[in-house]
Amino acid sequence: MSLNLEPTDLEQRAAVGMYQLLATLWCSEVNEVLLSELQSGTHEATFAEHQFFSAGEAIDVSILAADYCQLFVGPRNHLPPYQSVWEEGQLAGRAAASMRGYCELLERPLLRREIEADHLGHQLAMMGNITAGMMTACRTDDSVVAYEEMGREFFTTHLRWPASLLARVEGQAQTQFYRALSRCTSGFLEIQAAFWR
Amino acid sequence: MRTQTSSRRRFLKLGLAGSAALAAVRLDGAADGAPLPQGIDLQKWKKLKADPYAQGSVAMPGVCQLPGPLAKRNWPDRSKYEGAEKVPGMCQLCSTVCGIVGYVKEDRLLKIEGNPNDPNSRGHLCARGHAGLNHQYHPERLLYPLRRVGKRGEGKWKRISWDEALDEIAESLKQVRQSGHPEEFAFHQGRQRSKDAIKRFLDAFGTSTQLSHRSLCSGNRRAANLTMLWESDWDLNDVEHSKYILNFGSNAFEAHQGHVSFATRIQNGRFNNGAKLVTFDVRLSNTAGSSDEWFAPFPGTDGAIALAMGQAIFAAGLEDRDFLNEWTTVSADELKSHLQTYTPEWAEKVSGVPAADIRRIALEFARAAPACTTMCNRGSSAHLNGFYNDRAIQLLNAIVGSVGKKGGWCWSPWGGVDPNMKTPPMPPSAKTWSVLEDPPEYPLANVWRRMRVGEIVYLYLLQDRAKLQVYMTYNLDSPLTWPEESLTRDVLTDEEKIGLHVCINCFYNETAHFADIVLPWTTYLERWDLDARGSYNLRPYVGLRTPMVKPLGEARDIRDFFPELAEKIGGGMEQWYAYGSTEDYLREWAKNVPVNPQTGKSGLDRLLEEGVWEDTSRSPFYEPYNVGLEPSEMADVSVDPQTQIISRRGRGIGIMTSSGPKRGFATPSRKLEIRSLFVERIGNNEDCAAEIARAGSKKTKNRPAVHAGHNVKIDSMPIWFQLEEHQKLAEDELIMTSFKWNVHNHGRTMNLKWLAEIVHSNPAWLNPQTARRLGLQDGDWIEITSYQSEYLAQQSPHLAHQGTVSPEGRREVARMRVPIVIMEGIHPQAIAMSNSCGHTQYTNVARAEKQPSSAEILSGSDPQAYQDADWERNMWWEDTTGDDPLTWQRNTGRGWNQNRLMPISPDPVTGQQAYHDTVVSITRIG
Repeated sequence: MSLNLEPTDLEQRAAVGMYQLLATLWCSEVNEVLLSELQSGTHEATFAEHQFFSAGEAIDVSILAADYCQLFVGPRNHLPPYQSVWEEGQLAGRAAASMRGYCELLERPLLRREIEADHLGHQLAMMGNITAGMMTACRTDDSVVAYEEMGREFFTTHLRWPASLLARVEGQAQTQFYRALSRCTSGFLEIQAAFWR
Repeated sequence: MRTQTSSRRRFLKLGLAGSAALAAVRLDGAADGAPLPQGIDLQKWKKLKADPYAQGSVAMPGVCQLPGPLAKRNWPDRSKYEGAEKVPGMCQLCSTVCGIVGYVKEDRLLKIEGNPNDPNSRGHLCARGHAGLNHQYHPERLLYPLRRVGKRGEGKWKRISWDEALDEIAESLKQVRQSGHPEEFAFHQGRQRSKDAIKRFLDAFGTSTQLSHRSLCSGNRRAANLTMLWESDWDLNDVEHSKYILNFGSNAFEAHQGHVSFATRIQNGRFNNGAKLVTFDVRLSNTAGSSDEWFAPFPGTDGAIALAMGQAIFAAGLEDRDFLNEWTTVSADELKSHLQTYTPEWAEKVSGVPAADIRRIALEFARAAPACTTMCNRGSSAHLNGFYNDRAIQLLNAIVGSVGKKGGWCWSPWGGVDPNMKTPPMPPSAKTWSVLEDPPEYPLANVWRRMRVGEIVYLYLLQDRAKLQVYMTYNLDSPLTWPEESLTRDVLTDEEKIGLHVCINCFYNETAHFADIVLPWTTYLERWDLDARGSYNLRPYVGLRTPMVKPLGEARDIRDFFPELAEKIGGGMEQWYAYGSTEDYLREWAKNVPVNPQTGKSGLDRLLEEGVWEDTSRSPFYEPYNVGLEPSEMADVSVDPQTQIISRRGRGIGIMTSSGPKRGFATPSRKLEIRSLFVERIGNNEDCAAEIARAGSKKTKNRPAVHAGHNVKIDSMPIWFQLEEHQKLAEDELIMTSFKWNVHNHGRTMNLKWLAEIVHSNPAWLNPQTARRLGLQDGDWIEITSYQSEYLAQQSPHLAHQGTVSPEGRREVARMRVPIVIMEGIHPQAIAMSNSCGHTQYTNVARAEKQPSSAEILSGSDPQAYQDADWERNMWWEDTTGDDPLTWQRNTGRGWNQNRLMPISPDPVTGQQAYHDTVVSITRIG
């Protein structure tokens, strides 16, 4: 039976876009090419509105890289963005195994193989994939039901945990960019949580 | 509702913009949103769903959280291990390297046990070994290469790729080669078990500046053994078959190289063979406490007691005259005469141990011969007279004739992996020289083996006696484990003295903090090695360290990235890595492991199944000197008419005895060298080529020309002396001693929560007599001031460097404030503090802080990054009262780095760091 979520196509496309964007920004440091694109044309105003930067601001990516490192990589007092760390106090716990199961089921490789499967970036990417799957699945067969069920299950299992992490990232970030990333992730997941309730 | 609608609109816009931006730049590795398969495998999905998943998160991540006290009612959950694969490996959380078995399920290591196939550890595993899970899955493990972006030591980093890291390192190493000073690339190892991989890289590069911590560990014991035996630096006491075990300062039940293997055999000897264990130790260690008798001698007097025991044995006529006359370099009569002044009454005066007990124990020991043995380690050897302490202790075995006997004092000529295992061809040894690797002031440091003198490295750099263009540290925590922490830190910070510093480690430790590039190393549960330790079964074995699980993140082992680095450096280095994959290399190395008739497997395949193989076809290495030479071995030999030494082509192979040609000892005299003319001559830089040839030794070398002028008087006989400064201690002065716990190694385990929960701090131990004298009570705080040795100030003026000078003219090393515990288990003139504590880096567990560190400890702060319910239940958060004694709490946090108080203090003979000789003064504070 369908969950009758019925978001508009535009909203679904936007949600997929948000998941892709957040997944990319969580999984790796922003580089000059991407930063330049985010600061160009109409994108600039959109991202400035979310306070990733101010309009016209010159940003040194090496400073962003250092901030990314102290926030998510370490080596000291960082906030490891892995679900297992926040739930079990260790790397590669049950959340990672569950994520690998989803990768196999959906025949999707990890965004970055060298990053543990239960990294928040991977989870956002996977949720984006599931959302995209919902858009492309044929609404008359069982697959859409399965996608919807899976979406709810996945969101509940793998995207309700980061609230504490996100609050702490906002406090520990040294740049506007990563404070914005934290806020946006938090705000977006809140909306998605209401959607998947 | 309006707010959420507004937010949805804003995110809708952002999502579309983000999607467009990503599409425009087409980043590698960016989320691509490619379509999923149409339809889902519902069976798989149900299976995935069926696995119940624990929900909930905490406000802050902890470390290896336990499910809480109630969970123990249902513990252990045996179903957890159903279907798990058992993968053999070898532990590396201390020096003993026990065989282990990992339970692996779905790519996850669930449990570690001892491997019963290991002939040394026989399936036993200590607490450290079990805590390997904490090591493997610690949330603060280094997972990616890092490049420093702030000042060195400032703690600012960015992630870089392996390619970037190796390119930069290769470029610097190329420049070292081009400079014509390859010795200015130093590799500095802590505990390492990949000897072949390191040697291959350094020899291929062309540097022999390989630095180690051996002199901080066991230099004197090894040198004393080598003086007598030449072929082994490690005595393997056959305690399991012994009837009497005389322990001088070894804490085998908690530490020791051989820990579990040795401790279990001691207990087997006691329970199965009725052996008596007597311990002399300044401190009541767990070994001392478990002994039949414990005596607390004055620090550094072990050798005096041993010599007095020898005298008592002669006086009672219980010496083994046949052994002494036939197999040693002194006759029984000469030795008796040498020992005559070392009476038990004399020893009582210097050691405080009653003469009657010394005499009684000596005679008990002799009556148990030949099934009796001494044992010792850092307790007796880490002194400025430690070389002589250990010579005197070993002498006892010669006097009673237990050398090489079943139940006696034994050894083996192979130190680790079965010598029948051969690696793929190695490069020729590099022939460079560096004062850091071969300081000319220490004659016995490198004569038989490259023991080196690790504790002088940073001092010599400070003194500009050397410089380093590239410094590669590996599993090393020198700011914590080296003496004079502040000097170490200063030198590590100085970019003029140390160029590029590359640190290879699993965790961000105190050394990594001063690096320029940090490379994330695999754990011992993720990498390959062949490994073994001195075999207590006295026959060779070999074990396999295997990757039980895939490396986390981008962690890599040196076996994996050294070939790539060699390729980038080029210039011929790459030719030594043409062996294929690491597994191919191991397969070649292990190919001589014979077939198991039951499984049909041999070589690496056999090791992958069984983990360890012991050569049971060989007899234990008992009385090797008494083995007759075969007629075939006597072809083309000459016999020296005076010495009876049998030689072939100028190299000694045996000795003619009254019962025919025998192998003898592998020494210049082919006898056990109680008197060693060699050490006397080599100390004086005399040419010893003839002695070396008679010993048949290929490893032993004359001292090089650069040692000229650095003559050190070494007594040829076992003697003993006491430091003058120990004989005139002031009222407030004590001698500091250190120790290890049964759950920690020196610098690499305090980050493991299961162990840190057991021991996390190290208040100083004081005897009640001392406390009364100084008006101290349990829990009081004291300030400890440590001093450079007066003896060394005279003997080794080259060690001089800046420091506060006391009114009496002594150089102060450091001051430290610590709380005390008062107990009988410490000599009244000693003060003890454990090592392993006082980390300023090395993860939140090791730091154990909730609040910023005080400025005197370290710049930087430790916000409350982690919270852990288990920690909250415990009591080990650091004192946070701002150094106010009135409000001091009794908890003791992460403890203190005791090595901060230690002066650089190398024994002038061998370079052994004298950890147990430091004179300190103490003052009550608060």
